[in-house]
Amino acid sequence: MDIVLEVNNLKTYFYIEQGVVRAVDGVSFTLEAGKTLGIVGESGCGKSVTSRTIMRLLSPSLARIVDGSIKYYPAGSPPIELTQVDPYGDQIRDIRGNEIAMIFQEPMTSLNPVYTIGQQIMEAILLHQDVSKEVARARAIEVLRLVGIPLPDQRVDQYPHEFSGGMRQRAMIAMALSCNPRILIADEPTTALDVTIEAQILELIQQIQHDNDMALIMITHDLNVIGEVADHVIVMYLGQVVESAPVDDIFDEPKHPYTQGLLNSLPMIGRGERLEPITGSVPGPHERPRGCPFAPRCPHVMDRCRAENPPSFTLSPASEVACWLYAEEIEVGP
Amino acid sequence: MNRLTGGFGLFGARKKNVELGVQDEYQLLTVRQLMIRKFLRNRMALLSFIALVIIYLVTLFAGFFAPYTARDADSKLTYSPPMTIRLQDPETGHFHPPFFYPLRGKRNMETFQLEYVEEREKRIPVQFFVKGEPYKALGIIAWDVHLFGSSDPAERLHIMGSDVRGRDLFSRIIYGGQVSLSVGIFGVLITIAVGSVIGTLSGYYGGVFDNVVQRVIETIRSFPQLPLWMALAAAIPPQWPPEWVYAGIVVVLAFINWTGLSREVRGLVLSLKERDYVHAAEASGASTARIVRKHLIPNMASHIIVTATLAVPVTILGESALSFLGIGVRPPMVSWGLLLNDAIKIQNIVLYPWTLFPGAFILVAVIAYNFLGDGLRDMVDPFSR
Amino acid sequence: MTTFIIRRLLSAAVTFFLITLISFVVIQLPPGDVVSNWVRQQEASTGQPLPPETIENLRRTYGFDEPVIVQYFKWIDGFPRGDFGFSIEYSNAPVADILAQRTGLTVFLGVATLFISWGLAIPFGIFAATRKNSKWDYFLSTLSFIGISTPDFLVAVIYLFIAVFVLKTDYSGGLFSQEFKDAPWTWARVVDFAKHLPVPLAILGLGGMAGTFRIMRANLLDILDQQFIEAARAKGLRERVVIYKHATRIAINPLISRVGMQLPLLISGTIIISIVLDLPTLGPPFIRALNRQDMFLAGTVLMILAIILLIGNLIADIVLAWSDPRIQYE
Repeated sequence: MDIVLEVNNLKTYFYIEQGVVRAVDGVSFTLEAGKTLGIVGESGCGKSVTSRTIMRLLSPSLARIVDGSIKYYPAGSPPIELTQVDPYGDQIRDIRGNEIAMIFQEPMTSLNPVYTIGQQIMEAILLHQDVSKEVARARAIEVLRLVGIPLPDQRVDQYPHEFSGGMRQRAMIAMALSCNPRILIADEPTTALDVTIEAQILELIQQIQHDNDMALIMITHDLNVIGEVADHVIVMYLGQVVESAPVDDIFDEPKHPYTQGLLNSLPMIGRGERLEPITGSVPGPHERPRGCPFAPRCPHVMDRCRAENPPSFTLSPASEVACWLYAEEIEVGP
Repeated sequence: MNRLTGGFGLFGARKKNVELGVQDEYQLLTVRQLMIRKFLRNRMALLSFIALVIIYLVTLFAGFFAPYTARDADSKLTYSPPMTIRLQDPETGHFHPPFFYPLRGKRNMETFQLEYVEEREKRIPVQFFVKGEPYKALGIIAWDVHLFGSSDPAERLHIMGSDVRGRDLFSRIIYGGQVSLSVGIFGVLITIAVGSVIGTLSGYYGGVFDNVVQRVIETIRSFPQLPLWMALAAAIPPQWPPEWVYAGIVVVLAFINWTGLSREVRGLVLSLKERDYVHAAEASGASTARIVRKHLIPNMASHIIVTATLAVPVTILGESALSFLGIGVRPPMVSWGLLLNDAIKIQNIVLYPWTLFPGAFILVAVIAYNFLGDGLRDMVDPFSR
Repeated sequence: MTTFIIRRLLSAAVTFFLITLISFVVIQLPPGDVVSNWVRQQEASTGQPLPPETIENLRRTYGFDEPVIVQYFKWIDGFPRGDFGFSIEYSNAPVADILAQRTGLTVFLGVATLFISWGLAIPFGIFAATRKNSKWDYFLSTLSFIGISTPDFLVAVIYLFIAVFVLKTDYSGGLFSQEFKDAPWTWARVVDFAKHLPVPLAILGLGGMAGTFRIMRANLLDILDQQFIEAARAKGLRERVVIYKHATRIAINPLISRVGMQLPLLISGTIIISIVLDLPTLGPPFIRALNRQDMFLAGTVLMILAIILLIGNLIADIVLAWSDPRIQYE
């Protein structure tokens, strides 16, 4: 087992005018080389904030890491505690783009409109590798070819607005790959794309991951995407991990009522059952429940759920669930 | 990183939570509450609003607040410097009710300038609610009580100095405010009336009318504002009575301002008329007048108010600039710009620096309007940062 | 690009004709015509009535006996020959002679002010935006707010006050010392000019700076919120590179397109400050002409100012098209 990233009980709070928003409130996971971790949840559940906390991209004047640790294990050197590094310092900048790269949700706005695609890819290469401009340009063309952009030696000099949405996401992936990162964080990389393009992009990401033995964190609200790429899944709700399990368990035996709800609201070919959407909606930060965050919407809600937030119960070495329904099982079990 | 928190903009919160950290107490507010809260939180806007109310009240009751009338001259005290209202005798250190020392002019035989010295022997009490020159409050009620003034009619009190003919600058500033500030209001009223009507028509009907209007606006706007104002103001016949000239200046100022508002309103109408509820109203046979009244005006009112508020200082500055240059309102009318005309010559600033006082009033009024407009804009758009 | 420029030129040509038309209307606005005004003044100053033939002659030369529309075409017909009519105020001198050098100085002053205000406003805007909600940000924002509220002429008057009482300078207006006023351009004159320049530039620059600062700050704050800035940080770029290379480069574009809004204010400011400080630009003859109903002169100045604006906008459009790859030329 070759662990590259270990996140433990991470809490990131936003201190805004209206009060405190507990965007990430106790998230733990481990990431292994060559494996894919899926993070799934509805918008506002804290999955994007988790990824930005790892990259230390959040403005310290707005967001604070209140608790927890993020351990990054570089190849052949001691682990780095990312919560402790200066978010503007050299240490994190050497990691960003170089060892941990990220691709974003909106391919339309994640490229700078006034620089060519080539300039933007070369920028990262020149920053992290000691190579000449010519070499960087050749490398940029190479990664563009790798991500399936036709005529890369011509398109390298084009501006983002001359690319289609799918092509831009490919260019973003090319940019992220240009320095052979060990971890790729993909934040909803296909949400803004057409379904056919979505499939191509996912396939591309997986293929590249396989070729480079890269660890992948796939953040999405779409369980179908998770089913396609993930090895292990964490399900987030209101900043907390409610369930963490191998992908097959999530689909075959979802434990948490929220995970069950998510699956039941997913249309599947040949299932023939009626869809059962989760009732209610995600509460805003002003109406955060006292006990289990999911209690107001849970079909199995008990008195205890409203009073106390459940801890994570370990059901098997690889799976945990934060739900009082499984408290008995643990107490009875070994 | 605001993208990540932007969704929470709707909720007000108590300030202390920011420090306390863990307890998140949120309050859900209605849009109206949020608007008022936002306005009140903008201290500068609130302060400016209060300042403007005071300034307008003072100019409205100019006769009462000004110790003299605007035309009251005293040839013995030309270009007198500001006089100090004292409470303490500078020599004995004794305290007295408010008083001042009168100024005595003496010609300096080298420079031939009139130089003033305080006559320390004579202590003239400052009296409140003093009987003075008669005036008409609000233009109708004849009265002769002033808020304050010299208790001795023969010894005049000029707290901001006097001008070339010995007229009290403070009184003239208060009367000048009537012109300067009302030009802003009237000019903007015309701007709103013309701009919103033409803007609504060209936005709603489009076609040839819209094309012609847009071309006219474009042409007017292809001139720099002030020179065009100057050229138009100069065309007001010199033989007109002052009141007509005043009206002419108001019209000239509005002549350029309406184009901006009209464009804005046109844009709003163009977007509003594609809204579903307007289509629905049209489909159910509502008349155009009804649609404009029920759907367009309520939706545009806030924008128009904000634009209008921000147009007032522009108009005030326009009048000031024109009068400052001598092509605005004409004597015997007074305005702040006209008063500042005294300071246009560098030797006057050197010799009589108090002639700059009207400039301070222009500045305060304009800054206050800008802060107010800014605050209103934030308030109308309560979800903005 | 070429088609884009040609199209803009054509549209500018239309505006040009409308400008000449409005300027002509302004000439016509005051009661009576230019010749009768002139005659009235001549008769007042000499105390003798002018011979009717002279008056008739003048009327015919400028076509005042013809319909207004013909007069308009006579007026613009002279333009290619550099004939813009005559000035009464400047003892019948041709308008073109009076205005030639003054137009150049007006443009020079405007352009210099633009560069100075940008040169200061952009760094300050970046400084404030990257320290959003800090004390410095509040301070600069409040200052700029007062700056945009203060009319140029008041700045000029206040400056004179400061110059006299605080700095105790001897600057008394103008762009040239007495001996260089009407001298031809020599090195000594250039030096003298450069010595006089800072004061008017400082006054004009201050007003333009406040507005540009606010726009720059707001633009940059908007840009810094965009995804590609986060993406640039995620690449591992230095914060400085993110701000300057990625954000500022884009935040400046709206400033270029705003030149169209800034120029009229700049021209207005130049005019009024020139009058206060007696700078040899188009301002002083303009106000003099307006006061004395010297309408050919006034109308021509108005027209020149509008044309400066027109050309300025044209240049700004072309620069913007060149600097922003997203702009479509077609």
